[in-house]
Amino acid sequence: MSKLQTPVVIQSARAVLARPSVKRRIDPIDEPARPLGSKRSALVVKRADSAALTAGHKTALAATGDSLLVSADGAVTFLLRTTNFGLLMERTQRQGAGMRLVQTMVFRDVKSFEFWCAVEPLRFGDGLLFSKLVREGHEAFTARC
Amino acid sequence: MDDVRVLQLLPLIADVSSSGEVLLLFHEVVAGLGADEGVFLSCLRDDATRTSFRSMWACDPAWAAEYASNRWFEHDPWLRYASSNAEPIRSSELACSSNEEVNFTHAAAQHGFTSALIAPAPSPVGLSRVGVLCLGSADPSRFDGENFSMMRVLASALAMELHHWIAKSMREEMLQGVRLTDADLQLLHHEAAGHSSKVIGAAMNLEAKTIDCRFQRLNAKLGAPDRRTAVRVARLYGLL
Repeated sequence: MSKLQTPVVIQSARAVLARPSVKRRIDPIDEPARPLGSKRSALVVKRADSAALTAGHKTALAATGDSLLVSADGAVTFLLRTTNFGLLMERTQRQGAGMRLVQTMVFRDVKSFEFWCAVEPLRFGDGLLFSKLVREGHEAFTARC
Repeated sequence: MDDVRVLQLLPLIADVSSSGEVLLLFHEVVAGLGADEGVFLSCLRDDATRTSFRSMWACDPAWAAEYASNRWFEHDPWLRYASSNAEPIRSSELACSSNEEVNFTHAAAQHGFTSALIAPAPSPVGLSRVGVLCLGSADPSRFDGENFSMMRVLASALAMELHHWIAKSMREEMLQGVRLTDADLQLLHHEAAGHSSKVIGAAMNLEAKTIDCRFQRLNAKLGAPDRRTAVRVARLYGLL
């Protein structure tokens, strides 16, 4: 009688996973990001600046009742929301190589909103959008009263 | 300074869901701390080509407009200080390192930050995500005196609460906007563990080329140039 035992079959996936590749590198998270080559960065910036993508993404995030205003070049967006404590505004500005500045503020009364309107840089950059922004802001305050 | 009121309000920040409510609490805590103005700025360096600044403004709205139009975030001495320090400091104790920073200080003073208390909000990801709270006053000696030691502790707590809230909201926004699937997250976990396409393919019973294709779609979703950056972005946003 043979004393040979049936060999144990180990799943191939597990066998491979037991030896993780040592060639793969992982970027350290607490250091500045790995720089990209010039062609690669240009491609990434071009993709990121795609106005269609930007508008679609923000539209998806805007809740019902919010007003979303986008400048002609897609560089600046305003999200307006009427709340119990005033008009909430989220201003998003994209500039150049992937920079994004999001400013959130609340206007408690028309006076502070008008004061901000008087200094907002977009009043010269995109007059049409700016007039719409002012109109929507005033409508929001009128609706609250 | 109403420190009892501030201590009542601080724990509420983590529980609110909307940015409007957070801003309302921020306004109240700024007033409770005896400051006239407050700004919180969070800087997230996604990758080599993307930097996101998220900010909350409980101050003169003209300062917000000027900050954006003059791109002051590039020469903000308070943000620079927060990038390498964790200790709250008065703006008067902070030395400017360039003419632009001096100009920034003058501009801030015109908008109610004649004196300021700067409270950094560090994060476990080091320079990749930094937050800074700036409490300002038109009174040059507002942050002097014996109240300062209590004020700096409360300001630090406020900075950390706001930083956590923004990190949480960015994670939710990312999940909502990008729509990552469980399979995507599984791929990211494998990549974070240093597995190659062959290894991942063997584990998921797929071809290595299929894994590469899936990573291409995943990179596009996250706006990352490659899978290593995709993992970095996922970790920065708390997805892994």
